[in-house]
Amino acid sequence: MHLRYYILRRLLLIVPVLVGLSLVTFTVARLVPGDPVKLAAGPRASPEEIQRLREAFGLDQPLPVQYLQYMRGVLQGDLGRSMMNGRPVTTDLRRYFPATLELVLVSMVLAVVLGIPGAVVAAVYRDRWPDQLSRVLALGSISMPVFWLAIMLQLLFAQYLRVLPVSGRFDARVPYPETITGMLILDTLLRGDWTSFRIALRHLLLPAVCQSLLALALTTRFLRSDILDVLQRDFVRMARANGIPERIILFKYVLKNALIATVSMLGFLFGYSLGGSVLIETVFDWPGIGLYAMNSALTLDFQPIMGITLFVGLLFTLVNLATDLLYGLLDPRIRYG
Amino acid sequence: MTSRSFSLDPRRGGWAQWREEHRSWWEEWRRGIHRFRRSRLSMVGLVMVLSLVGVALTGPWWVPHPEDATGALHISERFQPPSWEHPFGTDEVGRDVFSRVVLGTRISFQVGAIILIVAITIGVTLGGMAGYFGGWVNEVIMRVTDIMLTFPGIFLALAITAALGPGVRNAMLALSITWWPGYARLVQAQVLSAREEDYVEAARAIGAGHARILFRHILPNLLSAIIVKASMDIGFAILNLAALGFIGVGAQQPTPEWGAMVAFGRRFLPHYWWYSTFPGLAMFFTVFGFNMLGDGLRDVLDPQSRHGV
Amino acid sequence: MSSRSPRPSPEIQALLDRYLRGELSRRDFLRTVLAVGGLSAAQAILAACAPAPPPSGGSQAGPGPTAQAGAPTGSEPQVLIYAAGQDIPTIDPSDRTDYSIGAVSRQLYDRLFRFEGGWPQPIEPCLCERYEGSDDATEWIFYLTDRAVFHNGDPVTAEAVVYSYQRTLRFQKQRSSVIAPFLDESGIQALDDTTVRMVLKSPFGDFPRLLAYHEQPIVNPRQVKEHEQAGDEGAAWLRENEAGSGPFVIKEWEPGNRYVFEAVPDYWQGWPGKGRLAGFVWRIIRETADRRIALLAGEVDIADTISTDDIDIIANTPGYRVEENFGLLAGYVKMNNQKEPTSDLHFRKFIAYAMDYEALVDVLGGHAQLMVGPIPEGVPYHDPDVQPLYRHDLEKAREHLDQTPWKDGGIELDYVYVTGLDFEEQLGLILLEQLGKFNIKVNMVPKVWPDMVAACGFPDTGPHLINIFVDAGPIPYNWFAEQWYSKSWDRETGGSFQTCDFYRNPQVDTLVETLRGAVDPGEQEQIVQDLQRILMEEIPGLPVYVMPNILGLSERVQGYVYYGDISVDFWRLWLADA
Repeated sequence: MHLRYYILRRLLLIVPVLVGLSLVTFTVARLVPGDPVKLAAGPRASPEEIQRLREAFGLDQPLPVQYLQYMRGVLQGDLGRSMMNGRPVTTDLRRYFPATLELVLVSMVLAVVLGIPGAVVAAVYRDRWPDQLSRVLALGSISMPVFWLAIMLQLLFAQYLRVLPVSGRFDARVPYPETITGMLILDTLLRGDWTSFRIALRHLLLPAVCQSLLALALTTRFLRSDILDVLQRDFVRMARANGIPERIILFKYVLKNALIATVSMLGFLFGYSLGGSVLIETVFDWPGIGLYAMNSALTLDFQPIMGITLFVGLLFTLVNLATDLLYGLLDPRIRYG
Repeated sequence: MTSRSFSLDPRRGGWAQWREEHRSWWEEWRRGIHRFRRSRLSMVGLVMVLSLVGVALTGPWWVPHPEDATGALHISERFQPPSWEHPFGTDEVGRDVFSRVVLGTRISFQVGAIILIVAITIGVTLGGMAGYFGGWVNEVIMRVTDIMLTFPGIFLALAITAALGPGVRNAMLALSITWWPGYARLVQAQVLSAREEDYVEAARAIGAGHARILFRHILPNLLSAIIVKASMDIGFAILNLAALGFIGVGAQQPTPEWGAMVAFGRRFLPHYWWYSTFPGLAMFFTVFGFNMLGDGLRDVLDPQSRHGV
Repeated sequence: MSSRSPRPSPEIQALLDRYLRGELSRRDFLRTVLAVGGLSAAQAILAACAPAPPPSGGSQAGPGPTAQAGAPTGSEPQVLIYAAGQDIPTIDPSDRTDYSIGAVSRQLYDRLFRFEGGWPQPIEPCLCERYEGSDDATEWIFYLTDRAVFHNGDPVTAEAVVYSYQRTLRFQKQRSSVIAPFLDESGIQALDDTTVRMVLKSPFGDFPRLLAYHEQPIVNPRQVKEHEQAGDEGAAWLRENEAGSGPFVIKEWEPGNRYVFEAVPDYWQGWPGKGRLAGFVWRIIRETADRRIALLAGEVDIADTISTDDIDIIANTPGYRVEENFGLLAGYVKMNNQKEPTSDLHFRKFIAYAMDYEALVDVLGGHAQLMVGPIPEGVPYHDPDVQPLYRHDLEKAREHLDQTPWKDGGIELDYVYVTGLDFEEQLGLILLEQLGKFNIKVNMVPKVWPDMVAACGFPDTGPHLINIFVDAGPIPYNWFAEQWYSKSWDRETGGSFQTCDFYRNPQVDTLVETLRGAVDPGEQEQIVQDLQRILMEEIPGLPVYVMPNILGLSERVQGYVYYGDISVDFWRLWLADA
């Protein structure tokens, strides 16, 4: 069967991608002129301790051996240990990833919820002021240095209006909700814990808004041009000729068809955002993988960086595959080759 | 494509003939320019970019305190609010923020341009080779490109700058490395489709060399696609450099880099609001200008592309 | 073995009386004591005055548990939110000693002694009630309290103390480095349930102070055994769990985000204040400005490492106050003594005079204490009159530069600092400006911390100028040995970031070695004075300033006593009702 063959081929292609990713990160990790071992050991560590650590991390082996050892671990689900805190990278990834996932998911939802009406309005009023406005706003959004905007919003809402918290994921005075998925919004909802839900939401709001900006701009403009495109098609003309009300044409036929391409774009953007929330997480002290990556990079702690890169790369590839499949599902004209 | 008559003899040249050969292409250009001039947004973008280029080129000669970007300090004048003397106020060591923001334009433009030049050079070379030769060359190059595209770009840039040491040069290097795959993809796809077209077939038939066909016949057609992408990308390159500066692995002092200025000024918000605000605004308007320009350029050069912003 | 006299001399006894009556601040008291009788006097006092004298602002530490239970003046125990700039990478008691690790370990574990009230300060009893040392300072006996209990109910015994020290020495991690030069595993013994004997490899007169500074957390060996995996002595488990006897236990552990601690109401040593905390939350807010915003928005009760520019903002906001204390965190510009041009004495003096110290103090809003001499003021035997004293003087700078081959400048120097640290960057900018006047170009070279550490390994990779902060504690020997003792860097594995001067002077080496074994306070003082004088004359590196530890607090926070480092002692705090 075509589809099965296609999926298999795509899955197999992940292997060289991962090997490539790991090779590149491994090379970068070994470029380091600094000595992470000395740092991990601490300023007053004895030479013996430094040597011991070096051996413990296998850094005394030749490079190819180090790489093979690392890959053997990866295949067994072991991404090594952080030199800074000694924890396995997988433990930390499990801990930090839900926060990033939550942030990205909510920002995507925001982009869709605000983007679709925006696109419809822009398309309906094509080339008139609502369309022009949405164009300027979209261009403005993608031009915004997001860390700067984040700081400004933080200042406005946390310092002046005092309606939202400065940073973090949850109110320090309230016990942390028990986690199921690690995504606090979802967990508190599942438990019906409305107080905690509200707290989590208040913390999430600013980061999610900043994070959604790019997706929102792209959704609006993508969808707008797709709507315009579909409006040109024959079946729309036919529907109009048959006297079907414009509103029904728009929402029932046009939007449905136009959304297909947007879905695939959102899929791509979702994968991209998983690795792109570093700045937002930094500004809002959001304990996700972006912040984890940044802290690791600044301490040259390369096991986590390699782990994160592989993990995000894998996710990105899988999300893209899923998107392509979904695209085919929505648009039966697509054939897998 | 409309049918065209070509003279493939390179010795017969001249402007008239070139125009004759590229008539439809030329026409398209003219129509595009017309569209561009009618789009108010694009014109605004063009004006913004041109004036910023002007600022970048002439800045050192007219800013009130050029020495503030090269290491002078005036500690007794720290944190002066905006005034006639200091339109954007002064920073924590008394330097004129206005002068530094203006001179920062230069840095951002330079870096943006260099990143793109490097990325385009690598991307065009690799993408062109892949598309033109096809076969295993294509496979190898495109697989590598795919891998690089899979990379969470900012992680890689972060890792590279952290490893090599913070600084503008390393930040540029890191960003160039993460930037070329997009161009390789673009070029490969274009070349692949162009390869099948009549005039290339014809050129090949009369025995024109690889390089000749690639550079004389295929690349000129690619140019517009690259220009469109580059005009949008330069803004993003500037933002990415600023992001690295913000994290602390970008430009070093006393270089007046916008992202680093925002990061340092952040510490003094909101009481000394001008320190962080103006570099941020400068960044926004610069990138906004480029994006508006790029958006207009796409309408001009790439009218088939539906997915404009 | 002769027991250290528990009877102080009459003049010290008089001072002590004044101190206990509250007429003398702890700082003044100590300073005077040290001036009068030196270290042995302080030790005598320590031995003489258990239980501890009252900390300023609080009542006397109650001898029994639940001293404050139901105290009428105290309010209901509440949870304090503490905004910290730093994560807690591990709490293994034998691993590392970042300030965050130290601050939290102190609450989870007990140690032999406490410090309170800033340096120099007396060491106060905790698990150890009393100690004595032999005349040659090689054998020390520590008498423990029999009241201490671990959180699981086990008594804290001499065996636990021995085990904790031995575990640290076995692990050879950073935690061991302070004591390892003096102590072997075999040198520690439990004589009975409440007596520990330590026999040193080489004599060290300051040993109890070193132990107090070292703050070895005492773990429960039985609990460690229970959680041992593959002979790791509980290393995996203790990273995020505790097996201690301190006033708090862990309630929630969210790395990179927040850590929640809960008070042990019937803590064996009681609670020193009129009230106590129900618990505290260590919340990580990495950005300085955000800590200030969170504090002023009421999200947190205490924020640490506040920027000097925020001091006035917080202090001028009703309901908030700032605690600014100068500890022993000393900022140096290290100069590479093995590489031209900084190997030239006159060139180093030139830089020392060209540096604009006052400008730096201005940039830091006046919140910096310029150093006088190579060690900070708070270190015992610091000489406030040491000469020469380098201050901004361009004429003298010119005089010295003229005696070098580089009198017309035309050279470039690298100034290395930690990327993103504004105060280090500002210092570099000042050097850049001043040396620019002599046609010498300073390249600002920011590095991530591991690169800094790596650069400091060997003289050939060591930068010309590098900004370093050192805190070697209240033990003079540590300061000299860690920075200017040539054997600390001239060895196969290279030096550490403190040795970035790459200074070699046989005379200094000998003095450092003699200081280590010196028992007599007079002799110690003489050596320390000599070292300060030589190091100022030779100016291997530039001592610049002591950075204050700045905390922002809500007025609700009661019982605060400066601890000597960046953080606070949560044990002493309580929250008044809003």
